[in-house]
Amino acid sequence: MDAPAELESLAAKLRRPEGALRDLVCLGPDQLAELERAIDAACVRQQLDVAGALRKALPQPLRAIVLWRVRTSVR
Amino acid sequence: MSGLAVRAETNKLRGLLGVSETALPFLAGVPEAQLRRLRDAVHERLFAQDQPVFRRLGRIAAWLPFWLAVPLCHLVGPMLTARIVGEMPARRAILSAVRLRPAFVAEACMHLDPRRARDLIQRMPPAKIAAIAVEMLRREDYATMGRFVDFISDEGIRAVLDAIPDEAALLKIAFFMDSKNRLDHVVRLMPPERRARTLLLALDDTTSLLDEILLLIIHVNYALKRELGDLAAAQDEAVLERIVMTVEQQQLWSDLLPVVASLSEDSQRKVVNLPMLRRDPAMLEHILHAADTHDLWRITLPLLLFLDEPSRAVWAQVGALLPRDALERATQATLVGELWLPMIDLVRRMPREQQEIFADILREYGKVDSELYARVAHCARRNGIDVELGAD
Repeated sequence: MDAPAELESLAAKLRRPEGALRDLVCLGPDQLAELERAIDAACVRQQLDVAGALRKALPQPLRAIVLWRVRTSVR
Repeated sequence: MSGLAVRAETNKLRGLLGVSETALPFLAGVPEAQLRRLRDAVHERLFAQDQPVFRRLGRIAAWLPFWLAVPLCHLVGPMLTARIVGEMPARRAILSAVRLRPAFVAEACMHLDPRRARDLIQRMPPAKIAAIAVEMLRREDYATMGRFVDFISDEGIRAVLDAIPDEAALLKIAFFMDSKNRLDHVVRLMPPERRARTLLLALDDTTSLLDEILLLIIHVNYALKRELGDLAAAQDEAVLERIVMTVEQQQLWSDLLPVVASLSEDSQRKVVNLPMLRRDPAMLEHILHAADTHDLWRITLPLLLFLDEPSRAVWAQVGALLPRDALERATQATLVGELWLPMIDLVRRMPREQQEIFADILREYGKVDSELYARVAHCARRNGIDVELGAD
């Protein structure tokens, strides 16, 4: 049986094969969508928290230099 | 699936997602193992977002001398420290970690994935671990403590046990532990008298720790189940009935039956003959249903041996409600466990219709093992089963 589209979307978002979330098929489409929204919100919150902590710890322009240096080295 | 373990997992997932304790109520119907896989996936997703940046910062931080790294940790704060430390080699990170205040580390742990910091945790001196645990306890951050216990060495665990005299706190931490195998080991590290104190505290009706102690008893090994279970069974009937009521409310019978089966004979006798089980046949129906659906007949049927007369009558009354396929499974377990006497004693108290079904199941056995059939049929007739079993 094919997994519902909501489960496929959730698996893609979490970078997991659908099989790893197979027991979530007991949830309805609305519930899966609500779960995905909660995960999205947590991701956004986490990004804001990290950005806020960086802003607090490193005043401009030091922050911009550090992040630029880090990001260019990552590439 | 333990309902309690599912509740602990949903609490952890809600904490990670930053939603309220009542949000996502439908998660209660998801198996515990799936919830844990989901939580791991969400955790990795959250960490993956900025991981390249923190990996690079971790590489840079690894070159800093500790006398500079420590003030920098204070400058960037606990969250960023946790993320950077998670990307650093443990041998470098430990130099700074041991020099940070326990309150700072306790807060950083909230943002640290213990799986990424496994080596760092292993290198942490026990005294430092104990100091951090005390700080977490002050914040009542049991969930974070539970996540880390899996990765702490035995010496560290002993130091924490010594530093936390409050048994209620230990139970709350244990409730959130990820690895149930580790839970068993940690309970073993506690001196027996402390285990007993913890259990008695949880059974006190002025505390609200029944869920925590049940989760613990359910997940420890046979010997500890027996030790703690016997101690619980030695308490007043009122205490036992409170446990039974909690198990019934949360439908934890499939978890509790193995605990009851591990008890000493005296304790088993006391538990199975609780007046509450006679007063409420619906509860007994749930027990038999759990035995059937979780393949627990082999440990449930021996309990029949300890039933007193009034209880046998109620068990037979409820057993008579079992459908034929459940009775077939129970009879199969009777065969495997050679429990014909208690089973026949139960069946003889059932209505004639059920006796006929039982006899029919026996006749099926007789087709493949006539000797067994003859023996059981003889035993059934001698025990007054009012039904023609056929030739033997």
